[in-house]
Amino acid sequence: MHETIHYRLATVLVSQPGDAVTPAHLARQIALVASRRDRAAFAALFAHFAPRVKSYMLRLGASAPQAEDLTQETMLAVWRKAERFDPALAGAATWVFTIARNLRIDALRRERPTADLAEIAEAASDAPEADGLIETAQSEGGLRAALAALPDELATLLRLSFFEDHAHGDISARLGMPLGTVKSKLRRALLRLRVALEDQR
Amino acid sequence: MTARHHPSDETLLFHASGNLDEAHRVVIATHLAGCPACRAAVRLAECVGGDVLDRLEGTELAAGALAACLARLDAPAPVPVHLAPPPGMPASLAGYRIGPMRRPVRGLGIATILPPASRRAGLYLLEVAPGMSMPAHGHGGLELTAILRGAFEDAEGVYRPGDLAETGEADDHTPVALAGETCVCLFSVSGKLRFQSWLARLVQPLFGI
Repeated sequence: MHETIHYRLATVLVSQPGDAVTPAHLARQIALVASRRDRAAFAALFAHFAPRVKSYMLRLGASAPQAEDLTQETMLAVWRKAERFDPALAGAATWVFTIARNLRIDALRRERPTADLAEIAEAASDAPEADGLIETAQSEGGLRAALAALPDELATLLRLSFFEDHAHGDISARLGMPLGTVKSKLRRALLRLRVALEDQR
Repeated sequence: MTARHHPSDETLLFHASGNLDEAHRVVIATHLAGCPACRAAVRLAECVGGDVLDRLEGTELAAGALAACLARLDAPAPVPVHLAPPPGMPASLAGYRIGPMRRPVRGLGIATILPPASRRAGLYLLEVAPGMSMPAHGHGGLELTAILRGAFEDAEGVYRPGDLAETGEADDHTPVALAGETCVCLFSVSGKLRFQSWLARLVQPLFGI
């Protein structure tokens, strides 16, 4: 079982912590785009995120041209929405992830206007949060430390869930692990993250 | 109003990862609008998404991709379309329509939310008269019910507006709408055909078939 998971991990994810670009540096580039439409800062963001967004789209089954297209759209949205980036709420990578995710969802949906569910949640979250976890969860450093401290198997399952379809129980099929086991492990992983973040406070 | 019944952590994770069917996503969004605790859980999962993205090995872009993108930066942004939900419905239904209300039996109304979300999961509006038993579930796929008005009760307790009932796999419960107001719910279920048999199961005993 462990071998299978580690094999999958190797094929789906690279465990290096990325290049020397720090999250804080990326957040500053987004702020520069927001404050003075800084094209050099945008080019730096493009260099870091665009190849990753393309990989993300490809992993989720987009064709090469679709992935290229969705990457362009994601980066354009980064440029246009930079003012709405709030480093107190999300790290740069998390923010770009949500943009890419939403654009992919839109692309999958047939060509018709429906509610932008992400925007609704965003609007709702203007209300004061009852749960103090928010601020901590957003300290990306804290989250990464908590993720790194997770047992490999749990971290892998958690990451795999970003590439698998819920409806089809794909993780379960892929790993030959019963669906119930996958769910309870995912639940345990999330609980551990939450506890770790609370401990860091 | 603090919700007392929430989606499971793993369902919130799949919501955050963008890998939940549209029907389920709409029901979850309905709950999230009124539930700070679940929004926090989604944000935590989104942070994992950020980490996942950051750790991906990049794929080389087509030649000239950056130049092409830079060239588009000054183009006017598309004007956002402002959509309203159907009257009396939550913001999560903006852009959707409610199909004709069918009344297969007295005390129960079912309308398909249009356009149909996808072939894999259906989205419905349910109206259940007070005291009426809601259809018994227990057929495998994920089912989510967001209560909009009224209330119902099952073995897990009482569900009120803002609450979300998540069922799936082996669950076999029989919720009953509480006395008072008609219970109005937004309901998503994986697998349309199974939903048809679910209706048949409900109708059969009542008609003595």
